[in-house]
Amino acid sequence: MAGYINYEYYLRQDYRNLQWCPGCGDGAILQAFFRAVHELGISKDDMAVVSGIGCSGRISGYIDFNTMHTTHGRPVAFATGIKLAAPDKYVVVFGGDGDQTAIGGNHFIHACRRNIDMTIIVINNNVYGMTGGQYSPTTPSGFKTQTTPYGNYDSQFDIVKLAIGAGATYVARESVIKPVVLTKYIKKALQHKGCSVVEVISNCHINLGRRNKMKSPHAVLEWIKDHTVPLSRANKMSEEELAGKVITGEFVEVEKPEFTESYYKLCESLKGE
Amino acid sequence: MTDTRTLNEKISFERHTPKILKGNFAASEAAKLCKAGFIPAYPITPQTTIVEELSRKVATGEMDATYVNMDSEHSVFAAAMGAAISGERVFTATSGQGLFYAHEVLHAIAHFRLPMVVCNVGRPSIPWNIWADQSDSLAQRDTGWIQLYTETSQEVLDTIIQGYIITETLDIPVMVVLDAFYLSHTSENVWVPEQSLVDEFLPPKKKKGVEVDGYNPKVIGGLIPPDQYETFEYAWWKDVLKVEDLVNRVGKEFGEKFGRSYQAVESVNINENTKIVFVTTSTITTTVRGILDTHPEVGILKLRLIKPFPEKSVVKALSIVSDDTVIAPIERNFLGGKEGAIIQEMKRALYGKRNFKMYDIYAGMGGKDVSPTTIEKMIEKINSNPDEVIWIDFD
Repeated sequence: MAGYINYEYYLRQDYRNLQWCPGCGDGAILQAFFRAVHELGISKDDMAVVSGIGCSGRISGYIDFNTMHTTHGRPVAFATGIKLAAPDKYVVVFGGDGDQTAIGGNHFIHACRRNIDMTIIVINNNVYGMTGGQYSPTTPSGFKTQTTPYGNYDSQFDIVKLAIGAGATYVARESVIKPVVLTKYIKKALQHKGCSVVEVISNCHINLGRRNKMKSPHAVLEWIKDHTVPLSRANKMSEEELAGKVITGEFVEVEKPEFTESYYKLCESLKGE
Repeated sequence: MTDTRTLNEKISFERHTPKILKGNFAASEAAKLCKAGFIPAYPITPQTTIVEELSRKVATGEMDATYVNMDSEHSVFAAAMGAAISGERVFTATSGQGLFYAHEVLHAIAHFRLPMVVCNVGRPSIPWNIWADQSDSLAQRDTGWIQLYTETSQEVLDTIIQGYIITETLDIPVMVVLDAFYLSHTSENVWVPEQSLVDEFLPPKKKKGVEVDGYNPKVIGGLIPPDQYETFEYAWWKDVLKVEDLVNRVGKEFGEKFGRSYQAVESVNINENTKIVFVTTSTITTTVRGILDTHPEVGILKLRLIKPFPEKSVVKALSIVSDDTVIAPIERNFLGGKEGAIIQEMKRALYGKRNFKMYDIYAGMGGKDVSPTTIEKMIEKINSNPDEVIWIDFD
């Protein structure tokens, strides 16, 4: 199935007013997503895509799937409703670091705990991009943002560890600089039965890079390149060498009872009584 | 009253510095002047620049306050509640969906009788929209907060200062409402008072002995049995009845000190010859002021205080007009009813006292521009005897 993809088929033709900044990582992520869907041969009618608020939230407006642009932090909760009502459909959530780990953190961990069959793609650009660059729970220490104008003094979430700790059964992380690997992870996440989390390290040169001596998309991508280490290499590195680095790769892939299936199985078993 | 006087170059205010400020910056300037000691923050357009500017002020030491970035508006208001229970002077700001999300805590803050001033830069809910609308704050009318609506950047600054006196006198939280973009992001002349002048008017927050202080342990927020619950509501109700007079008194005292006085409602060009009274809030008021020269038959009843509704002031302002005068509230809100929020309040206030013909005008929602031409269209529609509810750009 690989090869030529007609992107226009996946994009809403009447909504061409893309409001992402030139050079934003969201485009590369969307392309990886389309490629994954295309290569798996999933019909877009069999998929619901839900997004929250933030730059990533716009995805549901741009793509020609069954989409919902929901309230800030809640896409996972909306998606839970969709999955339970239509268990045979693929359900995908796009959310940013703010959407999924700040205002919507609770829904995120509970979807992981339940192991409900959905793919949560967390686009982590380390900042609230859409509101103009305020710090988020993943903004690196010392980074300047509009609400930490003299450097971030707060600690960060490790989204992968959060997902694993909460019980997600497929957890991977990749950055926008490796779209081919990213496509592979999204494909595996879509195929996985259970709650899959793919964290994508993305670039926001406008609202993060600009204030941290990385004005161009290229500069932020270089920074991402310098600060990410593949899991295979990380395994051979010492703790000191790994300080400040973000590890990419597949972290968890296990089978566990899936929530929707367990629920309907119980309902079935009670019918006979 | 604020716009014409502050825009007049010949007028200057003693112990003030003239500045050009956007509504949002006037709000952060006021929070600094009021020496707010605790600011929890979460970004949401179009409020964001209020808390961003406060973040800068705190970080540079320009302002002595604790600033904390929270993880949602719900947490912002919860943190505000915690700090207020400890006796801090609290300030924060939010908008639209943020206010909706904080709804649960808004009730808690008011029911705990916690003083604080919060700015809401009004925007609507879904379909997604970030522009001017008052459905967010008007939907919170029943949370028990005092709501003051502002017309100019100057009024934003002045109202926040007055807000702290009001909230700390009655222990009822105050929401100061701005129009998105028309006010929040528009630069205007603002006379910024000297710190010493504000200090003379607004003393440091006094503790009342009910705060958490560590040395005198107490339980706050325990379960209240049915035979006691109403005691709290009754005491609160008694204080709610004082709000209108207090807003008028504080507005007058503010005028004596700062040279700009305010009331719960402002009547403009309302006299025995008035044929139509537009009931306005916030920036639309300024637009209606602009057509008064060409339409001397029109008057304006500008509502500054909306919750609790200033019944006495409204009745008094309309006492001079004849019974065939048309009362026409302009509603920059849609709350799922046949009529908007303002006309409901107006009817409630006038019930049994006056029997005016009232037209409700829906206009300007989601930031739609209400220009002088729109106001003239409203006058035309009213004069052509339309339905009781007018949607200005439909039919």
